[in-house]
Amino acid sequence: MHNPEMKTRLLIPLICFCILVSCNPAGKVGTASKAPCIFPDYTEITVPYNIAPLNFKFEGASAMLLDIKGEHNYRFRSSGETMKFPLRRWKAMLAAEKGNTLTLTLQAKAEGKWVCYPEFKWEIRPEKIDSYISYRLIEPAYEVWNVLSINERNVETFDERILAANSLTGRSCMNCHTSNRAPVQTTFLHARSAGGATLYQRDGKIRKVNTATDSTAGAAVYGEISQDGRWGIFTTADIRNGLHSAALERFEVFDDSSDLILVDFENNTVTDSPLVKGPEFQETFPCWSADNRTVYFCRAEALKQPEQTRQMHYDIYSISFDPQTGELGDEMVKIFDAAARGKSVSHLKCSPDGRKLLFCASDYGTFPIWHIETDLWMLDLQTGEIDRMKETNGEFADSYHCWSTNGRWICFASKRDDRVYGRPYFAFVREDGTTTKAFVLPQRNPNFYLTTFKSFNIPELYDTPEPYDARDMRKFYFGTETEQMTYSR
Amino acid sequence: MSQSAGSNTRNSIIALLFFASAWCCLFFVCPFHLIYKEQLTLFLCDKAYLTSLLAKPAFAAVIAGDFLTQFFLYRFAAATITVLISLAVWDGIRRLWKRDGLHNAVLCALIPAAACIALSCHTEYPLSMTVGAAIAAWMAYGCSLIGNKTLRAVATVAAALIIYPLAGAHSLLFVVLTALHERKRISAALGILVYGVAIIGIQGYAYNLLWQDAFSYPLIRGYSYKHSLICLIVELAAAGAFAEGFIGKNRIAVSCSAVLVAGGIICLQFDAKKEYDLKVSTLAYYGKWDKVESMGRENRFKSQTAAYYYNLAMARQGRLPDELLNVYQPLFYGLFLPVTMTETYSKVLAGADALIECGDYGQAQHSAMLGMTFMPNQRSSRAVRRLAEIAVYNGDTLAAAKYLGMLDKTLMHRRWARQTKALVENGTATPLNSYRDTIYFINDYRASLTNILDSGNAPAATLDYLLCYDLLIKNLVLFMQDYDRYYLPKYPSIIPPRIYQEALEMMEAGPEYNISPEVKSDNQLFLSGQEYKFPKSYWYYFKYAQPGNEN
Repeated sequence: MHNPEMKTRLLIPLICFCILVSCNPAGKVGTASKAPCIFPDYTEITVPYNIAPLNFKFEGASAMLLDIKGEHNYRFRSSGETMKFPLRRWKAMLAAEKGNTLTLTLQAKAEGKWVCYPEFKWEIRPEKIDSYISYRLIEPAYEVWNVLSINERNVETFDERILAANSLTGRSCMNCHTSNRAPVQTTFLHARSAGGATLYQRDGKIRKVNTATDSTAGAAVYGEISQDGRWGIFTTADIRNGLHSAALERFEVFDDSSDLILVDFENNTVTDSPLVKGPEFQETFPCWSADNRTVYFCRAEALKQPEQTRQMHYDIYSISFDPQTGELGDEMVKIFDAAARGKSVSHLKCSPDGRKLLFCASDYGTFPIWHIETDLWMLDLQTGEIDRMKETNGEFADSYHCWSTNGRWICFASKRDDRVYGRPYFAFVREDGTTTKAFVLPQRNPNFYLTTFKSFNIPELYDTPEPYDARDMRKFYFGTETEQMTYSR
Repeated sequence: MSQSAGSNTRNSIIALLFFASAWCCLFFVCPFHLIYKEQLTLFLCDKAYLTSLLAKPAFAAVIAGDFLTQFFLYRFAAATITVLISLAVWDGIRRLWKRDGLHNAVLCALIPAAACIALSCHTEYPLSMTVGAAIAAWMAYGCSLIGNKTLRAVATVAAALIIYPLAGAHSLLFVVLTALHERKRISAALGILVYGVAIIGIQGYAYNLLWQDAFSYPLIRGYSYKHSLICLIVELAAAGAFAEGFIGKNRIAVSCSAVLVAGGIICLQFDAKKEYDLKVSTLAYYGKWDKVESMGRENRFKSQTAAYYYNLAMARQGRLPDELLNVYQPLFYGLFLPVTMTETYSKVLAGADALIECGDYGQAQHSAMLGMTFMPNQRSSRAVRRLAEIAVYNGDTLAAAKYLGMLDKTLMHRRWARQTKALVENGTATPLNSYRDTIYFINDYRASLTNILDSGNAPAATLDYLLCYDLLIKNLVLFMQDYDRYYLPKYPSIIPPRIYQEALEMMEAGPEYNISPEVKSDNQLFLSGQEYKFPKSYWYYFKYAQPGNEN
């Protein structure tokens, strides 16, 4: 026994045994009547087979044992309050259980006692979610910013990289990183302040364009790019803001004026239509139909603000578009009367199959993220029926949504957890168009959400990683000449 | 031998005296610069938070520095920790230079340590910078212990690779010290310098830092330290001290150099008015209102912050109108600290305090959030406490839970967080904000305060703040409007504070306003040319107060 090697040989199995014993319920196990209160709430959810491990924490637990039953049985252990799934085992499990519903039973040890919680389920969908999501990380600091970045995260792993960081671009504002999710992907983002412009990326080539012209109200703000990457439909707006005095309201952003502009990225021209410009009405949040032959947008009568902001109710309109001539139609149609329902809509997004229109419904105004009552609603463009998506919406501000390329998943920013900081949530779109309970983007350590002051802003799904990073973005920002767009009647 | 031992003892005594003096300087001259650093950090004992630091350079220095900065809440600890870390820098360099055979190594090593201490007298020079310097000094000393040249070269190359993620910008100190150590082999020394600088640049690039940021991190460039290479002072001091150790063997000269370096840097960057501002702001944060009152009354720097907190202290006692013109008033900027693009984050954050007192939780939240956003690392224990308080006042339990949950992970604010959480959970802390919702522009104090007063459950200070604001912006029409609407119905029969009477008399208000005969006769005297008798009257303010430099 004095042989140190012998000691080590005995010690290692002993330690392993101790760890194993401490992570296993020995003897009596109590039973809880309520579902386990895990964070994030990953109970009774539908997830894609290619999602990253849904690591969660169970506060107060000193050990956990998770039994998962599907076509096969799986057991995961944790020696603390955080359940972290090994990536390889997780991938193997989801691959094997694609299309199945898993039953999970959690046993947790707290204050020396093991307790078994009622089972909950995970439905593993075979429909893939886009592999990448971009978001802007920013303090929810009202109208200003200091340090912000646009990051790209692989939703299948925990890998994250910075696409644009304003620490490299003179602290400029950057926003609205948006993809057209076409086979040849086109994306854009706006970089503001001196030297700023819209950074347009197609097929790996990046251009810097200034969409502001003397004949339009300003540069492009919210908008989308057509599937062929040539056309962009955007808002131009004179944006202002104010504070709310009521307890749970915070901030109001409103437009003193807003119009739509059509941008031709091939010929570097900007055009518009008398139907979607002018001081009498405000037009904003345009989006393309799936075939790019219709533009949907929000429109409201222009009222004096902030005095009458509460009376600002935006409805949904559509206007035709001819991609051959690049002209908007001469008639517009109201397709959803939000005002009649006491609501105001914003942030329209058409499904890839062209059948649904997903939008934010707030009580008034045009800036959903600061309206705690904001919910996502789905409009069936064929029947005109509205789905209020009660299963998916949270208590506070669900907004800034997007569709996955296959149209079976949606992603959006939700403030349901703390009312202040937005986090990216996903929900599945069933065959019948209804949506499931949403779940938050998994993190390697779920406590990340509880310790960060950053809000996840404008989450955007896409399937091809951006061909640039923050350093490249700096080069484009400072080193590339801006292409000036001209106004074309 | 005995002569050398005696010399060493004398040197050690000088060094000890130096550090004792430095401690006294930090403790007595600029304690609030150090204390404020605690308010500029929020160190969480949480794995996710600590892991997030690993992705940035200088993680070891930042973790150790921010952890220790928590204790800066206490004046004694702030000075002591700063001196002890600088002492570690000194000791590492001293040992290294002693091995190098430097004359007066004990005293020469004081010079870079003095630079560390002096730089620490700035609120935005984080303790992690000094910790980084200590790591660099000790790693250089560690490398010097390796006798074999080849092995030492390998160790130096490896250390230069890992030191930047550990220590940040002061890894340059390691490069300088090891190059000096190898001075006899000039090619090796030059090689170390080139390689070390290149490694910092490359690693900074990999961390997505600009080169200026790479050579200053964890000091955040673009704040008070406009010059990106400010942190190189320590390296320059080290190089200078090393040279002086060989050239000037005179103990007194070396000692004087250390004092001059420290004194010079302090004189260049120390701002007595800022110390005064930080003191009054921190005392208010700690709830020591009696001291705030005496500082505000004296206000020897004509400080906007001191005037602001004095007014707040008076408002808390219901004496704001009585005392308003008895002290220095920088127009209305002594009542509210507006949120503007040119304002400092410390003032923006402080601006939340008066707004909370007035019940304007919307603007207070805005100020606290923006104050924190514009801090060097966008984290602040003080701002988070304010945000938690405001969330409680608003009945925003989810937001309160987020902030209190974070504070619960700190060492120094845990107790407060748990107490507040208990108050929320047992219903003792009831929401105060039940105002009618209105939308108003930022810094529109009148719109906000009148809305609060219209709600009928305004805090006591709100009305005084509104009326005093009207007076200080010299808008007597608005004053009369607000007086008639809010003050008169509430206090119909009492004699109003003298400042209100003076304003009412200017507006020739009727008898229902209870203006005393004394005020009326004083006004006559004032108008008859005897203004000098009433330097603290509203009449005098109205006639002579002009916008100046409010800061």
